[in-house]
Amino acid sequence: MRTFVLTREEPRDGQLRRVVPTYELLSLRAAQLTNPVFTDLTVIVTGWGAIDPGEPQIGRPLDGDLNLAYAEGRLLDQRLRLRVGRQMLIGGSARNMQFDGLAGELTIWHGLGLSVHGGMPVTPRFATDLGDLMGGTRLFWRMSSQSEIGVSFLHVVDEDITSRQEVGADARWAPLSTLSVGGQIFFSVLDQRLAEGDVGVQWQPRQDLQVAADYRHTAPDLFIPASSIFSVFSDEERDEVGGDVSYRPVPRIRLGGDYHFRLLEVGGGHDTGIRARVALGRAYDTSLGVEARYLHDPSNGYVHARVTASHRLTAALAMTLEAAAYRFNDPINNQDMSFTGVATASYDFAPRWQVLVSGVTGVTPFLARRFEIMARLSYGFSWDSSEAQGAEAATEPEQVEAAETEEEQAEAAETEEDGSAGSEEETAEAGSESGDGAEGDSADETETGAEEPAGDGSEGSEAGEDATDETEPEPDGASEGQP
Amino acid sequence: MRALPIRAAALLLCFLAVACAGLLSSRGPELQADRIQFSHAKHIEAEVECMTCHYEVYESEALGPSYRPLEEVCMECHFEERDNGNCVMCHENVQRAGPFPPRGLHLNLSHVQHIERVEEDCRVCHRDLPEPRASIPVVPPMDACLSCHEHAQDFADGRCDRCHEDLNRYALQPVTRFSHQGDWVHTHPLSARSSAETCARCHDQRFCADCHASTVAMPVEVQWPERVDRSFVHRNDWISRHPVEAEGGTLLCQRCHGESFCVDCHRTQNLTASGTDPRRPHPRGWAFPGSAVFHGTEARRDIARCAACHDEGGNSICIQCHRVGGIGGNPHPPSWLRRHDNGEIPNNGMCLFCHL
Repeated sequence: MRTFVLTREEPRDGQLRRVVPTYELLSLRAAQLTNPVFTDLTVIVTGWGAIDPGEPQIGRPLDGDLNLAYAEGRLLDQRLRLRVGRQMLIGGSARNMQFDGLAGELTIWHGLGLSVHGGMPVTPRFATDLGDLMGGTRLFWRMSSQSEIGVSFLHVVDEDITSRQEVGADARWAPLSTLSVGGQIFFSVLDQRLAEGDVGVQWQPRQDLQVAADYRHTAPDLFIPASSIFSVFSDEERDEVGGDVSYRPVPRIRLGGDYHFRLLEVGGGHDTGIRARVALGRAYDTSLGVEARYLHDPSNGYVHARVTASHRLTAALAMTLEAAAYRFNDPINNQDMSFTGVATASYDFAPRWQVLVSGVTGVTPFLARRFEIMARLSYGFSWDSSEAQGAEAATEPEQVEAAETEEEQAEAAETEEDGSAGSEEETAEAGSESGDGAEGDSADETETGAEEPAGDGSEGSEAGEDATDETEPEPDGASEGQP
Repeated sequence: MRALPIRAAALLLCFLAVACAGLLSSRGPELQADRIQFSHAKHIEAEVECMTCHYEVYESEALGPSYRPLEEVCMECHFEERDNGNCVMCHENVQRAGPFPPRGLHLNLSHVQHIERVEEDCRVCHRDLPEPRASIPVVPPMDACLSCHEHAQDFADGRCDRCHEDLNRYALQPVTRFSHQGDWVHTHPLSARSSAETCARCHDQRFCADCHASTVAMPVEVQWPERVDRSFVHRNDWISRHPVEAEGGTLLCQRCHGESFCVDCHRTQNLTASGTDPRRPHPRGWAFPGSAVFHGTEARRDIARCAACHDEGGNSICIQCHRVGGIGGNPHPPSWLRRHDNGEIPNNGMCLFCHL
């Protein structure tokens, strides 16, 4: 669970007013629930509530919503997966749709399978609904986790009018461990036009180098439901082609650059940028980054520079700084510069508890003086019923993990990566070792000695550096839980 | 804007301070941590069994913070060196001697299960062991894992989570097929749409929903301000640059935001056609044909932006002029009649707004 308290200036009724909303975010996952029907039964619920006492109101003083609320289980020797409730539908013609309903996926034979979904699209916040009913299917052949092809169909109805009807095909293929190719194409049946098409290739010619190229085609007007009057005015198309290069000459340094040429109906545009990031300190507990970007479209564009820094002062205390500047080609609101700075400090004051304070200041075209403060309290718990039930439950695993937020997962990973006492056990052992004097260790293990393989096995012994350098601890929190 | 250089200089100083702190923490002989000069080879030569020192491994069902033996274990044999004060036999920097921090734990590994399978021959996995003058990680290389058929199949199937807790912390390798490098935030849809099941092996839907659910409380940038390493779409001064970003490219606002997302904000800011605020979105000449900023031209190339504010069904402002017989004329693009015929009109309520 996370609690946010913010203070910021918001335009309301044409005037800037300082508001202090409070948010409570809940994330709950209960997994491996024992039941007589399903295997791997999992329930996931994420939602939030907010109190915004400011006047005048944009919405309601008390607000809230569910992001996810579904149960998922498997049947037929795990060949059929059913998911019911509010969920995300990712892949195929649905692309990425949030809906309330039922989704099932059946593996028929050797990776050949069929997924079917139906329900009601979720109405986005601050937006009109996307339709009343939706349904679709995807027939796929999953050759391996890296190679899959599929054909799909989606139908959305809004007020008895078909608002979206698309067929699509998608594929991903990894002929080599260093090469993958993917693409997808979606065709609007209603408009008899290509709605979207992407193709991309990703190649790692060396361990430290990755090159990617992609092409995208989009018809923006087809994102408007066909039930809207605005769907009849345009047939615009946009294209974008370019690539991205990532280079990591040594484990502490990451370099990258990208360029895309934009082909719009009114002319061409350019979107390009370079970035660099370096990790300092024996435990990689300091990270510095610089980034520059140039965007030029026929109507406007900007030059952007950004510097970032993160530093873990102690095992429990970390801070980040960020500064970003934009210079617009054509003034926006009579201003051609924008500057923002962000600082954060986080403190893990107890296991699984963290408080973070961030401040934002800036001078922007719309705010002569921007100043915001946010405080975030993260807390959570997990409960394993098998432990509670002792040996009997251990033979029938039943695990309930509740309110374990991504934040906590990430922070746990961070503290481990930083060589800090990330758990009570570690703390206890460190204390006892202190009493015993220095602990034996090999000369090749540094203080943070990475306790895992260094990437691909073939490279593990080639690095010729200490173990820390072979697996960057990512002290700034690169972890599954956080985005 | 005058405050900009001062603020920039202040922030630059902060960055330099952070950088210096990082450098100081990594350099300087007086800060050099203690290391243990330990030779596995000599101990093996002396026929010391692995379990003599690493006896905890026998009972380890999950990877512990450390299997390095405590000093008292060493003293069972080397007590004479301690009594003679010959600390430097093992310690590189006696002044800094102390407990070693626990190491990172990011693998799901049971030594108990593996010891049984390799019949207590640790060298099946630990082929090379660290020596004082050789840079050899104490952890076996991954090809040692993959030499086992079961793990080779895991690797092929992408079941990384059976062993790895987190793949995002690695360098570009091990596998391109699962690489999250580069401009991943912008390129991941290409992979995710055809490999959602592969993504799901490590990420449950909560991970996707943080950014993609249309019901979230606040943008992900606000939720995670400390993730300065991420290329979040709306980071920094998004409000100012959103008209620029919305103009081109294929990462469209409409992918995520519905039609009335914009109008809610613009209305509260008085940024509407009837508003008195000079920042109103439409320039002079918007309504006049022949103008360089004529709305018809703009609508042809970015109708979604118009819809963001003006889509009000039968009450939409366009209908007043563009209905059949109206002064605005036929609004359909040239290709319209190739794709649609008049037979659709009676069956589509939306058409009937104009085709009465």
